[in-house]
Amino acid sequence: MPKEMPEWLKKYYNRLWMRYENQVFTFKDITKELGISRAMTIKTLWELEQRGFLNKERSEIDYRARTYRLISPEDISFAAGLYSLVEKEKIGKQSLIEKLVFINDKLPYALTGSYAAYYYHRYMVPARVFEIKIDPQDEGKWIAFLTDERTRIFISEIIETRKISDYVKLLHSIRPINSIRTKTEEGYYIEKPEFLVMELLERQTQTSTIEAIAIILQNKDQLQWQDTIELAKSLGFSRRLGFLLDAINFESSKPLVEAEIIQDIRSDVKGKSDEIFPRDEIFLSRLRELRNKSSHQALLTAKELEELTRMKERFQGYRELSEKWGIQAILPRDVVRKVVEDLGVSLGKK
Amino acid sequence: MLFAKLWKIWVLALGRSEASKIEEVGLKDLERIDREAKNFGVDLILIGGYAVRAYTEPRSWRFTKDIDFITTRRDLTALRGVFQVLKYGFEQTDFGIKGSKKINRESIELHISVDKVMDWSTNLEYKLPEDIFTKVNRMNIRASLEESKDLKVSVMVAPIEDVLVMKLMTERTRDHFDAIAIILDSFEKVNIQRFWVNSKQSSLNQHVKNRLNSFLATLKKGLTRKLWKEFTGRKFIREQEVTLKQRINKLLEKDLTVAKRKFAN
Repeated sequence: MPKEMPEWLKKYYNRLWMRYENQVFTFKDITKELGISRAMTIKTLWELEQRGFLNKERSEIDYRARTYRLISPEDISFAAGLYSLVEKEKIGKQSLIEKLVFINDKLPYALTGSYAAYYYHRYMVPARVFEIKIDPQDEGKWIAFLTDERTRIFISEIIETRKISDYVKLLHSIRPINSIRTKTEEGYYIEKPEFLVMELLERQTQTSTIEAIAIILQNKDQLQWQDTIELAKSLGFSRRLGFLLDAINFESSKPLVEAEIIQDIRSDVKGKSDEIFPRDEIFLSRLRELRNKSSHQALLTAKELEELTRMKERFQGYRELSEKWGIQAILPRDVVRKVVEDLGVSLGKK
Repeated sequence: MLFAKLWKIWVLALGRSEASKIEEVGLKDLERIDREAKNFGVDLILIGGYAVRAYTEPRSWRFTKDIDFITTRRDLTALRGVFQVLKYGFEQTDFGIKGSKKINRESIELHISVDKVMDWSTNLEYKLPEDIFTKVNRMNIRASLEESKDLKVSVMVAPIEDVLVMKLMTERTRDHFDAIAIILDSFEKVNIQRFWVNSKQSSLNQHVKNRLNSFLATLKKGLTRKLWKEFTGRKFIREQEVTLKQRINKLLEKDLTVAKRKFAN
């Protein structure tokens, strides 16, 4: 979709911009403001959204309820300017990655999340959701530039029922983008592995923990360990990182990560904390469920009791490491062991 | 200058096709193993992530690269040659055989379990039901990536009930996500009675019932939404929640019916 507007659409866009600027509005608001039919309102919104000149957000409670926000004329001009640099025959045919290569240094960004993780670990294939860290002030430019027939951009939750090839989630970076990114051989920017591991440790889901382990295993010789340690210290993630490295060594029965690195991290850790790792809500809920059952042991059969004990032990497999790092580790051993095994470590392939 | 531009285009094309190349190799190997097994008279049935794909709609979620089969035949040496031709190793294990194939920096793991599927996270096992070979379906498995979207292979896939029990048996959230996706996308294909009979045959009926009840509890707590988001990056919408709840209840109801009928007899 070219980044230009037919006259009728331009007229409606201008009227809406004059009235709402960057503010949020609803379907009803537009019908009222423009004094047009329902069908025409749908068409106007559709044409604006397709071009990336309007950001649509669906309600988390009822996905049919939508709110809209216009992209500013300056941001639209910026995107239109970029499109004018693309050869005519390529317009609309570029993949998302090609667009990122094309934008190069014109707007700062770094691909993060599971897509970036996959670049480093080649373990779990990522979902087709591209998470991109950007400068907050560039949000409109990104929406206007990246939106096309195959791509939709989201700022909050991705709620979409139509089948789209690529979903993009824009994340505001709290650090200067240039400091956290590196250029891939293919020519697009992704988050440096040291920062990405921290990002994954911060998310604390089962998947993000698995991805952090896989990145460490696949890149242990390339990671800038001193930077990683310093980052972990500054973010308060030393316990998590140290524990994870120890767990990797424990499951692989060999010092895959050098003892000095772990020792260095350990020196930052004093006493105990009330931290639970990983604070994955699904793990926590399961653990609570098992504890509830334990409090009604009298109602259980011997077999049920045996199963319950085994299930509880699954979350307490790293007692010694929990002690060492002063955290309550609830990461099941099978989770770490599976990555280690899948990546060929315990088979002696690495 | 021109050379630099051409080089960049080539590198870009290479990067783009890497994931789809793995997928393409995996799918073609899958088809070849299925065909050769048939030639050697070995009944191989596809289970695991690829079987889940056969029963679910193509979505933007994370797909598996590993290939899992199950069989009743103990002597699988006939397949050694096929494994070697396809460049997988051939290693006998306590549960069957396994192999691994490297493609650039990635690898595809291949497992064939004999008679039963063991789960690491629970130490439970699912015994191959006697009727599995009569209920098995030849199904199409399509590539999930845009670049290879026209590729599809036809393989013998385990019946949906067995795939579902195997996914509900484990403690892994990835498997729970797969089970939810199967219930949402192919529930009409599930023979509920067979599902419970086979669960019982492996002494898993209570475990499965607990798991389904736990799904209902997690739905209520909003954790299914988190699980869905973790694997698809997308929101689990209210309509899906309602459908899932109804279908899980239907599964549980039917189990009660079986129990009541037995009690009456």
